[in-house]
Amino acid sequence: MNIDGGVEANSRQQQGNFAIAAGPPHSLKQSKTVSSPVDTHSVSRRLQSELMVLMTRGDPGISAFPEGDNIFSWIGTIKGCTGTVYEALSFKLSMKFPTDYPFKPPTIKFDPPCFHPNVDQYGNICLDILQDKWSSAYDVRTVLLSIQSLLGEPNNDSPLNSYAAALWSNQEEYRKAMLRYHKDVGGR
Amino acid sequence: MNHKAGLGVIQKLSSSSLLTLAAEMDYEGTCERSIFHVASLGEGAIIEIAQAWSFFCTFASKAPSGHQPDITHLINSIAILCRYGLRSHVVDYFLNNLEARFQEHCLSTFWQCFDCFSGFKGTSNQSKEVNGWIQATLPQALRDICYVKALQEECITLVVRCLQTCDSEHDQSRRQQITGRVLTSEDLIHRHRISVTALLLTSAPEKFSEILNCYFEARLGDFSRAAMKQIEHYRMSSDSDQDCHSCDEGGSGSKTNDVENLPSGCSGEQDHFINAPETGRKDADGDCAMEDVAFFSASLQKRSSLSRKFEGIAKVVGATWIEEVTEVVRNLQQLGFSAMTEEACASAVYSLLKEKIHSIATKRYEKPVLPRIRKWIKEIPLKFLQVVLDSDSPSAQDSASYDFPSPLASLRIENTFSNKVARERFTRWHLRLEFFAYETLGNLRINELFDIIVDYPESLPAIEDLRHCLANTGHHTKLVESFRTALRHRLLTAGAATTDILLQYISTIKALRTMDHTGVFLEAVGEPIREYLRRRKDTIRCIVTMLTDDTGSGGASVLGGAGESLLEELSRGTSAIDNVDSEDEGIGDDEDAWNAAERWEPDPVEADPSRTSKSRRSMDIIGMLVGIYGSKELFVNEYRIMLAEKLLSKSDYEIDREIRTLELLKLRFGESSMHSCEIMLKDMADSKRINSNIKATTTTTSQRASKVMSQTSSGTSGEVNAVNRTFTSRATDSGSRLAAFFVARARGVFSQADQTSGGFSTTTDGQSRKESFSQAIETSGRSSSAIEETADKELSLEAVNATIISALFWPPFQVESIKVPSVVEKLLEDYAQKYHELKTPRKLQWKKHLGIVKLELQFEDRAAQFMVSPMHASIIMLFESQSSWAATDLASALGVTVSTLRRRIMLWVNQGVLLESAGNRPGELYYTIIENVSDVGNRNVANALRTSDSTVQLLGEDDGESGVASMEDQLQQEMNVYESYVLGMLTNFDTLPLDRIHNMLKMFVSDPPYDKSLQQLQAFLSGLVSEEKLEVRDGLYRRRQQ
Repeated sequence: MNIDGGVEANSRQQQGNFAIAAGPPHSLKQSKTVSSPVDTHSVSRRLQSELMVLMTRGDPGISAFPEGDNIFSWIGTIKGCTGTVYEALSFKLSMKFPTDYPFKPPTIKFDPPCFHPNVDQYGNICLDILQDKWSSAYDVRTVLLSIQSLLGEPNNDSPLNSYAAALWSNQEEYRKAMLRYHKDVGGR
Repeated sequence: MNHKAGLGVIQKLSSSSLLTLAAEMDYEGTCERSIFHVASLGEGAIIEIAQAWSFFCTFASKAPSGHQPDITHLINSIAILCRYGLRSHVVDYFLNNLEARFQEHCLSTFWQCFDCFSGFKGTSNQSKEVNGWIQATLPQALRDICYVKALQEECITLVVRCLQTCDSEHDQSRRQQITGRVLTSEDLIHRHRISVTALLLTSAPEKFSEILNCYFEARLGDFSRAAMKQIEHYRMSSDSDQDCHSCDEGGSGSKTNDVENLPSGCSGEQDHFINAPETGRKDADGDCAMEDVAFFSASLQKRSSLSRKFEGIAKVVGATWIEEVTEVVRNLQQLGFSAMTEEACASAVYSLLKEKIHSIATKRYEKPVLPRIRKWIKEIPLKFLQVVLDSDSPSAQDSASYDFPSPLASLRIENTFSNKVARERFTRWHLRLEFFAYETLGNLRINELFDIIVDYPESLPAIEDLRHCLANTGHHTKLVESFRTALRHRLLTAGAATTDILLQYISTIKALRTMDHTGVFLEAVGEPIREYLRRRKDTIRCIVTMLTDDTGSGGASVLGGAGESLLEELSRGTSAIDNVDSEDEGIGDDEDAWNAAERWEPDPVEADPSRTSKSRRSMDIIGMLVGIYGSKELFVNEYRIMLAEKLLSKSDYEIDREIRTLELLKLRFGESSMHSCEIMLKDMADSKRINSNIKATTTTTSQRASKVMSQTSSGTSGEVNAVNRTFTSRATDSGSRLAAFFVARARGVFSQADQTSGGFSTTTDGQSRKESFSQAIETSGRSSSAIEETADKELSLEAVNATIISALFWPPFQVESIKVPSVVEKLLEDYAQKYHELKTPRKLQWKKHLGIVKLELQFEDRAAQFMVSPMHASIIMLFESQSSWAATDLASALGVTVSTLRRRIMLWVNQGVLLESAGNRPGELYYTIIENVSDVGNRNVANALRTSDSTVQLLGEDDGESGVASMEDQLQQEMNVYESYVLGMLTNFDTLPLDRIHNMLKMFVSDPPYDKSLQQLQAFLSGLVSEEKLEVRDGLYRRRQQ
């Protein structure tokens, strides 16, 4: 991670935050193992139909598709909305669905990570609907749309990347830092 | 060796060197008796022996000479020699002498006779000359050599008699000593004959068999020609009651009939033959018994007796012919040429038979030839063989118990059985000839099978013949191979139309069914055809067309005949299915089951073991055609599309024929698969009812109620078109008059709200969504409207006829949006409104581009009626208000692109209604109405004028478009569903190879399930590449960056 000094200074803090942020996914994993045998068939059917909705709706800027032959693991693509600093950039997401989906939220990370106040250096996203506010009424599409809008409208009150949060007020500087970061991690 | 040595001794003795003799005799330990005698003999005895021996030698050296020798002297000398125990030496010496003389003189002269045969080879006029020569030479040569032989045999008889006399003079003890080996003339003659035969056979040149062949061929030719002549004669003399066949077919034509007309006298020959040998043989036996009668005269006598029994044949060819042939055959037989004779005869008969079969069977399939050939065999070749074989046997009997190396001789058992033997031999020949006929005809037919099948229904007799032949020869494998080759070369080529291939396939099925009930060979033969047809695109369409088209009218005339037969087949097939069903029920019965089990026959060895015989047998023609693709779904789909096309192009609601076809198809494919087709037909019937309902409401509310009422009552069938009248309208600017009389048909889709499904609202037909609510169940309507345009632009609902369809069950339609003129639009809306009132909550959704418009155009100088598509009608209606339009304006007025407009408007240009002209700016086009033909002098207009009295039908056929999306279009549409998936995939994965995309689609696309092949996907993807949505590099697909 070759970012300039400021970022490095913040990165330590990020790690600290990460420990907290990583909590929910961890507990989620536990719950997965504990949970009673679930009907994976119905889950995969649900995921298939979500895929169909996603494909047929063709919303601009968001896309996702199962990775390999496992429908519980997807790769997503989000394009930055026009009018935001993320305009014309596309970000890859890795999406892992639990076997008791949609009663538990999917685990979604930016892969590679993204320079954003609510995204840590490992790409974990701090978004309420992916954690405590999750509802089974959400689907892949709505989640992707939420993440897309989060890009343009970060929640600077609870940043995972405080440097980015601090920089947000200066959009031009922010964009420069973001592009640098983006280039470094190999995004497009 | 024994004898030779002995003779050598005696010869030396005669030169009176006694000591040498004694020494040599001593040396020859085998001649014990001689040694004893010589040792004990006195001088006088030796001189006596020497004198007797020298006399005997002179006799032997000129033995076969004509003059009678001094018999008593001969007897004395022989007696002396015998007394001294030189009996065997006498015999041996005599035979050897005869043999040597025969070899020296006769043999070479005999063969020399035939030397010039090779000279005939190569001459142009070969056969005739050769035959003449052979006929002159062969019998004479044979006669000569036989004469010599007979003389020699006579001498042998003489010597034997002398020996016998000596024996009788001997004392008792000596006689007893030699009783074991009493010499008979037969013994010696036989020995002589064997040696002569051996000489002849070893020295016979190769050409001799050839000569014999030629000879018998010529004789057989004579015989058959004579028989023909006789028959001809018989036919002419007898009243021509039975024979109406014209003889103008030439030689072969007369041949075809001749056999049937063989005189009864000739046919009765059979019995004669069986009885005759009895008498003939008796005579012959008697002759042979008389030893002192000259052999030659005996044979002459036999011949006369023979001629008696061939009376019938003699009548045909003449007695001299029979005599000659009989003599030749007998002579040959005597010389030991039986095997060769038989061979030559057989080859002559075979070649004649072959020629005959080829002449009457080649390229003639409409009559069975096998019975005729069988009859002919009985009449001609067998009669000939009768002569030949029969003249063989009596002479053979002379040496009854000897083992001749000839197949003919081996048949001979005892004189008493001769009758039976002859019959047996005759039967064998008969069977042999019949088998040969089967084989020849079978081979001929196998080679012609392709042509036979081309003329199938007419060539049935030929197929029957072939079936018989195959049953006897078992050349099925050959048939399969040869037919497959013929198919590959003649049918399965790019040049053959699919229809032709299908027709030939159907004929093949039928023909081979006749030939082989198990269907094994059909399967083998049909496989290449099926495989080839599978590769053709239009196969399904052709089959469906053939299945459904029973009218040979219009464009379908080419398929007319076949279509009819297939439709017949369809109806026949259903009855067959019924039978099968009933059979299955019957099998429940034990007895039936037992019978079925008893009837069971194993499949031929060539059968493919992986398929049951039942499946082979139960497949009928339709089943086999459908089986080309292995599933019926394709056919059902294609039929649905064709049915939709047909129904949409109907101007009335008559669907009786379609119902009938559908019922037949339902029997075959099952109710469930034809379900949607049934609904389509039901839609038609419903439309008819609703249409008249709407009309009825119109008439009650209409201002012109009374008028229309009367018109409706007159047109009982609801034929609204009858009401239409022509109105003229005045065009605005010029003084031209243009009237359009519309019977427009537009289709609409109407939708029914169904709120229970919160699912995805799909608009299958691409209709605007404002009309439809959430369309989970969608019914759609096609309406045909008859629009009547009056001078004041009033159109009544009367003119509209709608076909209301349930979109879910119809194949998808081509999507096209047009703007119809406002008057028509209003009319359609009215109609839809009426419908809504009638069938709330359903609504009509018009498919405006589908339908038929009947219209009449009136110009200043002419009028014409047309039946066109709504698009064309809309175009021409716009010219009512404005006589000239720019292409761009016209296109926007119609709501189509300029290119579409240009394509469509060509119809009117071609009909001489509009004139296309270039505008001032490049690329600008103007269309102007042609009011006066004379102004333009367009020849198309003249055409239009000529056709003006009759309605010109121009229903979209000209641009090859139908309202229903074809299978390929459907496939395209189906693939379009996957486009978003593919794009989504490539958005997330950057690059993917083809098989990965294929697998992912298979895995994740469930609704509709992805069932396309890799090739189809590839084709689709390359389509996307050409649309510049994707790009492909090194086999990896990626999204194109915008």
